[in-house]
Amino acid sequence: MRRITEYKNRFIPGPGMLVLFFAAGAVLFPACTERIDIKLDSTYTRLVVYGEITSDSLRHTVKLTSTADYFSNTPAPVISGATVELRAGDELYLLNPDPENPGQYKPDVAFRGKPGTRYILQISNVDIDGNGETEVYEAETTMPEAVAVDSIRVIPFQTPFFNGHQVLLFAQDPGSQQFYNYKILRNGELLTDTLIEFISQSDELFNGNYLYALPVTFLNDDDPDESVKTGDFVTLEMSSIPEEYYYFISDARSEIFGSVPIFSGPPANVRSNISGDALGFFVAYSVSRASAFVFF
Amino acid sequence: MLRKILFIFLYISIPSAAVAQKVTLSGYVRDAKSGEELIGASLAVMESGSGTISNQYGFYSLSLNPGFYTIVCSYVGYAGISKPVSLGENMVFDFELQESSSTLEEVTVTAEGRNANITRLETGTAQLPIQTIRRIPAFMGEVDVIKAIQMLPGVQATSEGSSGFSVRGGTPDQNLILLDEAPVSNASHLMGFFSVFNNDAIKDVKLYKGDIPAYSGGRLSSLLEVRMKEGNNRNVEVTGGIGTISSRLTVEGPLFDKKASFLLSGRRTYADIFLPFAKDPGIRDNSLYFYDLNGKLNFTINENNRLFISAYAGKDVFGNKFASMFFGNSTFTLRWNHLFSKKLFSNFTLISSHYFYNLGTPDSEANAFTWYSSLDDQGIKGDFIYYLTPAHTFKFGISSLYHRIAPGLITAPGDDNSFSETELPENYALENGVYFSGESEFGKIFALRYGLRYSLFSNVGPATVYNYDASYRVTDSLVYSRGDFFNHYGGLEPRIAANLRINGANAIKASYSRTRQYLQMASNSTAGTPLDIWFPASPNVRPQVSDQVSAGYFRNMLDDRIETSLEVYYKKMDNSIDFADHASLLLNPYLEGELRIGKAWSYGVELYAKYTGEKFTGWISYTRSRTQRLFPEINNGVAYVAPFDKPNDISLVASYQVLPRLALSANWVYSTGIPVTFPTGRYEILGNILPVYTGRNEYRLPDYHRLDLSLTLQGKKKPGRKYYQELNLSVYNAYARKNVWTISFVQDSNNPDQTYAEMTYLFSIIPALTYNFNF
Repeated sequence: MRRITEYKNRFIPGPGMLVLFFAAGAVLFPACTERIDIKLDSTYTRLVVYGEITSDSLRHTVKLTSTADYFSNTPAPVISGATVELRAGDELYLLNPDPENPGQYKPDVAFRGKPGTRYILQISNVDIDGNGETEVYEAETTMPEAVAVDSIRVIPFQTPFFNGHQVLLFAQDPGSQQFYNYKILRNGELLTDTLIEFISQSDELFNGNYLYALPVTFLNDDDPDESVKTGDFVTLEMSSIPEEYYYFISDARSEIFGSVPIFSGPPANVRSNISGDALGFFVAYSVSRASAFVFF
Repeated sequence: MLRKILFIFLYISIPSAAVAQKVTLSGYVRDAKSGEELIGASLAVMESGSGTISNQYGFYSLSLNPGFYTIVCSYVGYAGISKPVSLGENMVFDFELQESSSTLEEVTVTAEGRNANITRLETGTAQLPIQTIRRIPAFMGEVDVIKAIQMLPGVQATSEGSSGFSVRGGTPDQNLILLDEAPVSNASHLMGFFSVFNNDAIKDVKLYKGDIPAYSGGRLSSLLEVRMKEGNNRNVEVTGGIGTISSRLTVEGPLFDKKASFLLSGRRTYADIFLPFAKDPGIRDNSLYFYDLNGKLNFTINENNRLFISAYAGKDVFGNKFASMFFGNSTFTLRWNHLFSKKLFSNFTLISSHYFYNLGTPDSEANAFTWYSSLDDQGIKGDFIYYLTPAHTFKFGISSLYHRIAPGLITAPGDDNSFSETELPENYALENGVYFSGESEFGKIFALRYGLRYSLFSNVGPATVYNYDASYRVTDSLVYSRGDFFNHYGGLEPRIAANLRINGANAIKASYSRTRQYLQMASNSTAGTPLDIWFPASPNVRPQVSDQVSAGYFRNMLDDRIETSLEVYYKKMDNSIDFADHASLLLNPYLEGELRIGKAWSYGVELYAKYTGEKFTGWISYTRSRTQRLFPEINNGVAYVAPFDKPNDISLVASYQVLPRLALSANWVYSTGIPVTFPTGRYEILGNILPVYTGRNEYRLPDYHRLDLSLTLQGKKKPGRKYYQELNLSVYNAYARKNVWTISFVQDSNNPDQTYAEMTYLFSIIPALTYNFNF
């Protein structure tokens, strides 16, 4: 079922096109796959940063790891001992290592992210290249204003290939350019917690419109990790995200899905907003929610 | 330049003293059975050793001193004719050649003219008669001219089964494909697995790889001329076939007391007819087919005037109740051949070509939408050939082509629709060309072709042109109103070729050509999709320019039964286009901001040997080549290999008549795997492993090789029996090689720290059965 996710929101919204591309895949490319041994070169180590500031969380985290050889097949090496500072407008917070989660850094005080605020992250006291001198990395992001979700509806959707439910969104898109990321919770449990499951969208095809039953995602019945049934309580988290983060998500998704010669251009590194040679992203986004029961 | 053209016109209109005493033998070369004109047939004057070649309409003209001559007319696959003539005044004679295999009685067969590859001026060209193409084993039994072209040296398929091709390192959009002179912008069906050319309607294809004639312009790498049959003007003839995936039917015949002839041809696939039998409901409920319709009419008004109408329409349909997609081409040409004199041949053409694609969801669906895009070309041109003497022929002409590109219109029917109607601005442009070229022979030894083309390109309003800053962000825009010719590019395109004939079996040839390209396709993938986005040169995009030099040694052996050649080339391309990392090409009004400009170069050696025997024919081609690109903003400014760079490429094509009614054909292809970008490192974010790349195209897919076979059981041929039938069994990828289409790097879902490489291959062994008939 990897393929369903692969075509999901590839570039055309709506499950109709998803079905078409899936049918194209099945009819035209009864392609076969098998594992193959490939020898890959190594590359030097880079710092990897992933940090999120959100409008509804009190605890924000920044995770520091480093790159490894592609077939290293071990958990990502974590970076401990770094100095991590966060400037939020006029406030300055120090982020301390979380003893329970190596590589993660958290502020001592709880605070809520505010839309319109500029956040600057500074990481120092790390020596990634191992030359004995420490380096300083920086990233900055501004939290966009939240866009309210009026309601959602979860309806069954049947296709010849797969059955499941569609989540339909009702909301007013503002006239200015917006980028969204949607996450789904089932009975309070986050279903879309990995990048590959993120559903991000730009409003270029519906800028300023009332979004009336816009299909935002499809939950496949055959996949226990995402299937919903009658009585389930589904929550849609709609985040207003910065444009650069939208590109980060779409770059990451296209690299994870690998190269499909028909759709993709040449592979390229996922864009990052961290200074220097570092990879990853530091983002601040605002969240709004709506929930609905599954009736059918 | 203008003065030169004027001079030529004067030269033609005032008969000069030097040529006044000459008399002209002219006429057409035709197939004796069908009356089809033969293009590129050779006509040799035995007494003087000079000669000419029938032009694209089968016309020839020889101006000689009065006297007795023996004219030998020959054409590949046909028995030659030797005709004694007593030339006292202008004379018209049409040569009618019999196909070699259908030669029933003794005619004067001559080997002269079989060394056309030696005597011809062109380097880097290949002409394939449809009879040759039909012998090549075909993918799913569908005989395909583009797949045959891919077997020639210097020509490479872009990906498995694709009808896209790369010529001497160029990109597929640098090939100009003309169907009866109308440009075909997407020659693919079914995501590229089949080409739009129905072989029953095609007479002849000719590919120019380097030495593109001055009469053609607008593309950097190659010119592929596909010519439709004129239609049998002797008898009504029906040709058809029932194949594994499609059926074909062609009817042709004479009209108006043989003053005219027509051809109507259709092909339709019927995979969808079998879909309802599929077990999988997901496959069952789809419609999936394509069709092609070709039509041609030609009228001989009188000895000096002929009219030709050619039309083509084809479409792919793919859909189900949730969404659907259509795409297709249509072309139309009206041509008028006029003989101003027996020495001045002219042709005037009106051209129209249309390509579109349309995808979307049904209007009844909530939030329905459709996406429509099209490319239209309308043009007019006049071409003249002046046959001064057999040693000197001149060509000149003028052309004008109007392009209209509609990159995307999104419609969103229904009141509650969340989507807005969105239209990307259309592009309009005018492309003009004027050319002069000459072919001159200096004795039997040396021949020269010299040509000069001037092309002028203009962007025409209405248009919105965006300005970009150094980081490709839009800063502001300029709006031009309708009919505003707001931007121009132009330049000279010299073309020159020389042939040193050491003797009848050995020649050395060399050529130089410059080409310019003003219209290109935004395509970032190696496999073709129907979602083509063409964009013109503009204030932000300079035209691409290519300079190519090539040289070759041509040698025939065993009484011309073996033709061999060795050609080398070097090609330099400026203002080449590639795309930013993670470029967004579809439905992007700021497409120009995704372009990166650089240069590319390609060089190679092409070896070719062909054997034409009575029972066995075949060729082998080997290309050793490299193509590289250098873009300051891609790959950190380090040169990288181009996407279609395949250093080693071999094609072997053979056909053997085992028994009088049983023919066996085989072809084998081998090429270095295409360059790909693989990760060297990895990192983890939110549970997903992301790749780190250090350089573009530094790895290669495993080498590609494949064997195809076909067996043809031919029906009995008897004098008086009109019905001919044959049964063809073809096998694609006979030894079931798993040729890698793509390699993905996958995170193991059971063990998220593990990653592995996974290859995808498209086809294993594919047999197909085709029944062909003709009466």
